[in-house]
Amino acid sequence: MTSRLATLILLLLAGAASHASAQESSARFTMAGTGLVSLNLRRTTDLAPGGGGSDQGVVPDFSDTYLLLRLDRQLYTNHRAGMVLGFLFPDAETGLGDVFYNQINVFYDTRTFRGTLGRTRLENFALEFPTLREEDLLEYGFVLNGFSNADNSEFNRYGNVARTELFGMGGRVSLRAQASSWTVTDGAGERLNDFDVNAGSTFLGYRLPETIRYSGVVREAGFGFHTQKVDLPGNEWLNALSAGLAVNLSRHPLRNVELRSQLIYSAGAEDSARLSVGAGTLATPLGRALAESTAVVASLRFLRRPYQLDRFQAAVTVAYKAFNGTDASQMTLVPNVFFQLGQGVDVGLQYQYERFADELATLLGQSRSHSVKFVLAFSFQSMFNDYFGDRDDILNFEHGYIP
Amino acid sequence: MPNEKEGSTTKVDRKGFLQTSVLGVAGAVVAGGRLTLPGGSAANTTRDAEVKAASTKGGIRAWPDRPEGWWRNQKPVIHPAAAAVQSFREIEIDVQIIQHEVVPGYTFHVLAFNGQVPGPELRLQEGEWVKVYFTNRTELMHTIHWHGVDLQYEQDGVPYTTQNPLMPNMTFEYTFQAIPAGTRFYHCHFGTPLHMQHAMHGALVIEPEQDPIKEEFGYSRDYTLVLESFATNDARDDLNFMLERMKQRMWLMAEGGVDEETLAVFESEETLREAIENGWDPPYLPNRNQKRERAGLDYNFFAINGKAYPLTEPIMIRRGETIRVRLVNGGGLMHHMHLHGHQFWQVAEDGNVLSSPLQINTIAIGPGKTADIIIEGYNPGYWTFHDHDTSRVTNNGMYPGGILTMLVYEEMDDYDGYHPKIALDE
Repeated sequence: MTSRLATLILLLLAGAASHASAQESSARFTMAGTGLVSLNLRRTTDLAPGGGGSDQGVVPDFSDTYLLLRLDRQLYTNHRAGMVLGFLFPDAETGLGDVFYNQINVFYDTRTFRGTLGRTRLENFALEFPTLREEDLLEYGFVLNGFSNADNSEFNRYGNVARTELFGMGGRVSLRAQASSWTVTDGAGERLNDFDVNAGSTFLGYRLPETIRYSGVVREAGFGFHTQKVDLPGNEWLNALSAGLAVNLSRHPLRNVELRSQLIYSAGAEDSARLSVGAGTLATPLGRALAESTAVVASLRFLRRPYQLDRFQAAVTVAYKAFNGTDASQMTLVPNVFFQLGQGVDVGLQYQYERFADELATLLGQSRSHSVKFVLAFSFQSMFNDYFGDRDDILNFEHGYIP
Repeated sequence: MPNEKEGSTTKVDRKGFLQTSVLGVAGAVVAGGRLTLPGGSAANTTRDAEVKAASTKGGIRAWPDRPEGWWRNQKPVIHPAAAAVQSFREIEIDVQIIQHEVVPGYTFHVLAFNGQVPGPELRLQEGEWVKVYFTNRTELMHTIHWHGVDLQYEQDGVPYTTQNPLMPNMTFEYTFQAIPAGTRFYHCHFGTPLHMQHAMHGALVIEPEQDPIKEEFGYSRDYTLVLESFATNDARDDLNFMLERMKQRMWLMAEGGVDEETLAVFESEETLREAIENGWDPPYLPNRNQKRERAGLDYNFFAINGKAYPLTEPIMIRRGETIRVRLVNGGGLMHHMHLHGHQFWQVAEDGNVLSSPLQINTIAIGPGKTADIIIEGYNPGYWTFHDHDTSRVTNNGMYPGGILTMLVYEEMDDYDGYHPKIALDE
């Protein structure tokens, strides 16, 4: 597998950089990736008779390490089209194998439109939050997969989509709509060969381009509607709403303070009675995805950027989720700090406290957990044969778009 | 089509003079603002002898063609504050980011003086005083350097050396006396590799009261060709990067919180070293900057007066007419301009009249250089005038394009032979 990947990457690089003919328009090539390795230390407090706890030894974790390749080129119409190929390394416990191909898609791009077809992010959230890994907030920050009982984050974050996006205000405002195929598993969490379109969503968002991220107070805002055709007795659809707001509390470009908040309400697709303690389905990932719930997440992040270079980040994220109609709830608190040793090289420390209340604690057999992660991360992004600008370039949105 | 060189007595004499000059007798001299031929009078003969005596060491003349007293020709530079000037010529220049079409179908963002590429040609009379009100309508910092002009140093437009750079939405007033005469130019001196080359440059012609070149050659038309080289992909990348950085710095400046390390501007070497000892990494270190190799710009478009072939304007001439062409290199590359079917005269370099005209057909114009040439209309036709480094006669790598234009005889409209077409893919 490794040699096949290496061969593929070399072929793509060679193809992007080659000038086989003076008349050939070579693709623009972007390569990005992150090597993310943490040493995890975890302690849980059990609710088993006797009420003891259990410690997990120090576990090296390289999940969410990824490599992403994007190739795109100008078309005869001056529109653009391209492809993305990406893979990540999932957690060993997920049973997904060594590599999970999370990005395999093609896209078509104009100044006001973007169409994407293939596997990519499901965009079942309003905002991203400053935790080490997205899975740290999976239960709180995402509309969960109502077809999967697998205990992994990948089936909740990635899927096959047909997505259209319309852009206005120089890319600041976007209206997205997507039909998607979310991964379907059996009760044991094994993936089934079911690739039907089973979900859809629409999202209206505002976002300051990254290049001018400190130039306004409102950095991101948006709300969306998400639906999954779960076809359960008496409830064909699992609907959810998401809304998010990110603001710069301080627009200081060297000492930025940012507040993010998100609400996800899932109307649920199962009779709440079945989700009670007695039925016990909240103990499974699928049960929690199908349950009516309300989740809120908020984070406060301080970023110190001496000389306009990211050097230090301290963030705290707090999240709470209640399963409506039950006493079950869960919350987490995630403070972390990161130092940037050099461009793209970070060392960090994250602590996560999670508490399961009442019925959920009973169902899961644990009431609290503490985890500490010491992380070293290497990230990069390089672009080759860069011969056209992007929608969110400052030049393009402030000085006239050049296709 | 007749192809004979339409000679005149003056022309034959000039050629004969150059042949003589090669033999080491004497060269053309500039005296009293006039280009004269030696050996024509007793006075000249006497002066030559004096010059020879003054500049001879051990019997070898150091500068056999040096005009008399040329090193004393520089006019004294007067501080603007000390100038008892009643009136100034007032000029308004701004800079803005515009989209510029260099060839049909290809447009890119540039920094443009008065919204045009190159900037407006400024024609001043030698000795007159000017005030240039320069307004910055971008979110970047700029200056204007008056290249080749002898002026008081604080008017020279070098950021952090002669002035602080001009901030967005501010106006700076440059005041100077237009000396010396000649073909000169102006350009931004802030972030020069990006700003000057993309495309903050323009011709500055300082006309003498009596022009020795005009008097000698009697040219009837005067053209200016600003030669340019653009690295449009690097420019886009750099402009976006600088705009992003400057938006943040402008916020800091407005709040009074920008420091030396952020700007990378220090009062002294001592404070610079102190900052480094305290952990500050200069932006030129590889740990901060690997991508932005300004020295290695990937040039892909080349232009004359903002346009690449086939949009370049032809140089028009008539049979028997003499024209002057001022060549200004506004970019960062060497250009070797070659004219087909003609020998032309180089009469000035860097705006200064040569001690003797040089008859050539290819002239090298380096970055920062200007050259004046005289073309005589003795060979009617369509004559290619182009950079003979043909990598600059391309548009995005495709030949022909770039720095390619034509010397066109107006009579050719009536000619029933071959007429040029536009070719884009050879």
